[in-house]
Amino acid sequence: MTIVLIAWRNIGRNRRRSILSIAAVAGAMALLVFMMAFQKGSYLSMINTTVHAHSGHIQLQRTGYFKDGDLALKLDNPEALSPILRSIKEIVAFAPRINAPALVSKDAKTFGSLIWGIDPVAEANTSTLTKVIKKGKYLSAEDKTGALLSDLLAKNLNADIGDEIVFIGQGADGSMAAGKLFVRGIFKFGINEIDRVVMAAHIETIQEIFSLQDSASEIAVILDSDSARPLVIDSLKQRLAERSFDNITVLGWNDISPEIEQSIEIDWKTGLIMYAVLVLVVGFGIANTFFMAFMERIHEYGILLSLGMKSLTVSLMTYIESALLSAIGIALGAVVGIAVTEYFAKKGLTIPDAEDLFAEYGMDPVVYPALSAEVLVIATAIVGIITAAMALYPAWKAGRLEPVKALRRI
Amino acid sequence: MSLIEVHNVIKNYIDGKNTVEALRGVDIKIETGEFTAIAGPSGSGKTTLLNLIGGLDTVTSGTIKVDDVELSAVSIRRLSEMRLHKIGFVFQSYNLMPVLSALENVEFTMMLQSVPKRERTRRAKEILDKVGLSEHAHRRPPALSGGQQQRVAVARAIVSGPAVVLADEPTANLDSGTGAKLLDLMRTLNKTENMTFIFSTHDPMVMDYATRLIQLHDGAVRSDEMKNSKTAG
Ligand SMILES: Nc1ncnc2c1ncn2[C@@H]1O[C@H](COP(=O)(O)OP(=O)(O)OP(=O)(O)O)[C@@H](O)[C@H]1O
Ligand SMILES: [Mg+2]
Repeated sequence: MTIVLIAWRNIGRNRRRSILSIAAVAGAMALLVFMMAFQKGSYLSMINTTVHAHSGHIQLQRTGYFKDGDLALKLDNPEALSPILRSIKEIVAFAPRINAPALVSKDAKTFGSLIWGIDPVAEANTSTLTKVIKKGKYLSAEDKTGALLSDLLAKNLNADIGDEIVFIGQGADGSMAAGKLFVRGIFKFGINEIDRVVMAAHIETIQEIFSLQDSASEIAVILDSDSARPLVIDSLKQRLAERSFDNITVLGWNDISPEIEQSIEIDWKTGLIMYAVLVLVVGFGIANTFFMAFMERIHEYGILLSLGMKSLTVSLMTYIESALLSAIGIALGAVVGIAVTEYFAKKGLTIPDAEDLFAEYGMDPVVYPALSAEVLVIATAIVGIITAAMALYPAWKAGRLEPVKALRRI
Repeated sequence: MSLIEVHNVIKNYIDGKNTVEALRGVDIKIETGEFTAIAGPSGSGKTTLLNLIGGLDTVTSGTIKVDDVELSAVSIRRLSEMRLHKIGFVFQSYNLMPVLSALENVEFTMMLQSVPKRERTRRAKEILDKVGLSEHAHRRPPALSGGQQQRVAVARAIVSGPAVVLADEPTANLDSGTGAKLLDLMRTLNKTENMTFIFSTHDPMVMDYATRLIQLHDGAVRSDEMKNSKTAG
């Protein structure tokens, strides 16, 4: 209607101030979109690192194994699951593993350890194990006598490439499980729980020694993107049920490492509070420009009141003027924010001075900001709510103007 | 009953610690169709009186009735309705909305009255034609001369047929030739449409146009006389 028209034309009058208001809102909006997308992107790379280090996006396990860790709770004939896994297009790789606790020794030194039985080829596609070898080599496909030692475990055992490692544990059937392996390589994930205790060896060797022929403790699954996880978990569950695979549990990385999901959630919420405070600070500057616009219009509002416009309408008109400025700013800021974010989402944003550190742990030092509807909606809500609140004051003042006093203001 | 009845009106302004007695007991009755000038030196209370009659401000004591409605007895809301439907204002400094064209300015009050778009455009054009501004209907005020702006202001004031048009020194910002033309226009409207005008001035040339001259001095009526108007045109 006409009051919207007047408010709209008013914006065009003091161009400099209107541009200032719009730029402030747009700047806040663009910054928010970019920072939120960056934050989301850094979570993705954190999830990526965890998922690729070991857990996978998804794991299949025998029901109860996750809780008890009992070697006897195993997946029988894991090969039989391959067709199902291959039938889901989001699944890009998967690898069977055995996790067997054992004592490992070299010379007179003995340490508690966790032996990973791995399929060297499948594992190479699934985890970053091949990338974190610090010394020696990764296992070749048919190497049944080789072992990869984690960095600290190797130090503790005083073991080096070529050394013989003896291990002893208990097989799934309760029998004694013992063997010897030769160190081929030493790896370091930078994840303490792994680097202190893990020794990796060929899955067939470990199956045989621990009486676990034709079985696996887990199958780690890698997806093309973590966002597909909930859907893939659902369809896996459904397909397993259809084919009568009972007693198999499908876990997401967030079930396996809930602490990571929690810390992401806390970080996100802290971030939101920080953004709200930031926009509030910028908001006071914006409020100032809204108020300046109101002050300039007092005389005109006096005219409108003298013509018989209701105070409430005058107030509404003031509010509409501020709201239009905010809306333009938000739209512009969203466009700029999306453009900048998309640029870096393609190019990646290297965390300065951290390349070497990240590379050492097989992590990507480049963060790819991840834009989503959630980011846009939240950014719009934060900027929208705060500017809408800031626009209330001049609108309230406008509603209280007295015609004569307003007319006397030139 | 007269159209306007000002009875024993006192208006004080509190200005910091001082009380300014702007009107000290004014009694005036104005009938429909009068063309009244309120004259007096600067500070005599002309603007104050017009603002009170127009319901823009409230009396300290006394009563003002416009069309039998006592202004001090009604709500602020009702007062703004009175301004919308019963009163037209013309100000010394034109006071048009700068972002609206001449036509839109004239339409504006009708918009507030919820007159349908077609009807208000038709009427606005008709009135602009009457004040001789049809060619400039789509110009905005800054692109019009002072005299043209004041004609738009008159058009805006009369377009919805108010009971009275209050004009506070309508010619003070105009040169005498332009001022005379504006008065001709107002007087013509007064005669042809029987429209009531009350305008303030301290210019003797302007007083010549009035059919009634009320002289204010120090917030009180010093003289009030009917006279022959210098004829329109
Ligand atoms: N809002 C106000 N606050 C304080 N004093 C005021 C206010 N408005 C008017 N006055 C005072 O009231 C008196 C009458 O003022 P008013 O504006 O009505 O005079 P006027 O006859 O219109 O004068 P002018 O010819 O200069 O326009 C003056 O002394 C003026 O200073
Ligand atoms: Mg005055």
